[in-house]
Amino acid sequence: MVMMISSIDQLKKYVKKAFLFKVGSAYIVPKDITIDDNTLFNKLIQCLNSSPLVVKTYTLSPTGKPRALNVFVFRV
Amino acid sequence: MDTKTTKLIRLSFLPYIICKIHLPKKNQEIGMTWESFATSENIDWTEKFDVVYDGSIFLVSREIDFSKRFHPGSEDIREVFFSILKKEKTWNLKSVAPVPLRENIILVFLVENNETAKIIGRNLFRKPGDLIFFLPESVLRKVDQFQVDFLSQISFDLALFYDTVCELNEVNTYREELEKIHIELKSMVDKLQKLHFYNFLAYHKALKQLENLISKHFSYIVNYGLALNALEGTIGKLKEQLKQNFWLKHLQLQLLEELEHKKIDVDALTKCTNHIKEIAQRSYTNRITLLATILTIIGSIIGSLVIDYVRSVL
Repeated sequence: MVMMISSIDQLKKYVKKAFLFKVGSAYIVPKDITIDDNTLFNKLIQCLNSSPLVVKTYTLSPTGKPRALNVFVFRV
Repeated sequence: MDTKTTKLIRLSFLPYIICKIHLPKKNQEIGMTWESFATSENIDWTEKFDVVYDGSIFLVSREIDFSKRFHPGSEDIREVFFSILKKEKTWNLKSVAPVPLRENIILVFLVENNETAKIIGRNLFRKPGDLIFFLPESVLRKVDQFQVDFLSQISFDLALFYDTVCELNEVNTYREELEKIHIELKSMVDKLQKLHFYNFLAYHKALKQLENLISKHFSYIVNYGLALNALEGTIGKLKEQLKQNFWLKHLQLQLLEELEHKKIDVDALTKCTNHIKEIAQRSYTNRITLLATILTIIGSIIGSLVIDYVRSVL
């Protein structure tokens, strides 16, 4: 249900935590399509870790989804 | 970077990758520009961002102080994130606009009591573009797990949205091309009609060009029609998917607005091109008839001269 209100000041005292989420697209398209999934995944982690702005990198699966590496490829 | 992609291969890794990024305020150029326009002194800045990524769709998350104004910082993070990914030569990075989505998704975790019970589970637009969800604090046991679950719940439908944007780009490319060809066709017919009768070579060259352009035009009309049909089918599918998505159903109007497109009246365009074809054919027939007449006259003159000559000799 969506409602419009002008002020939510009255709720502030009950806020435990608040987050802003922004979502977007960033497709990595391998130049060599025969590259294996593990190599690609490791390269991605290495690439992200190579930046001094990246403090930490780790992996996490959504609840109920497999923990082992899975790669789904969708051709559009 | 290619932001007008029409075809994509989309990877989706499991597990997702979480990146903790520290971006100093001095490096948040877009945020600083925003600050120069903001009147409030009470701005909630952060230098800590989380990016959750599956190889195609990313989520930027930052904690906000609800009592202050804040700048998302996501555009700066997008720039940083893209520049990191672009350094690797194993892949090309492609992105489909809008990146990130214009809407801010704000998740507010509330202490559970009698007063908050009325609002927990509800959502609202504080202002256009700011969609707020009120959730019980109990669902936030682990922030990173919540972020990953959130991305998992939207990534498929969001990817479908971006796929649809790709299809829209394809339709728009055909439409723009058709409009361009149509203008070229008109000027080509003008050129053809202005060419002097005796300029045979130029006339035939222009006629050939016009023929090629007409056939290109018809092929673009077909491609445009097919792409438009495919787009409308995908938009229908997307609508259904969005309706069922717990988070994105509240953004369906905004997402579908991004897919609004100007349509060309294909029938009118086809009629117009056929008319141009007729003009060209008529012009060609007239010229050929004129040429034949002139040749007949010249032939008769030469014939009578030859007959006169032969008679005089005999």
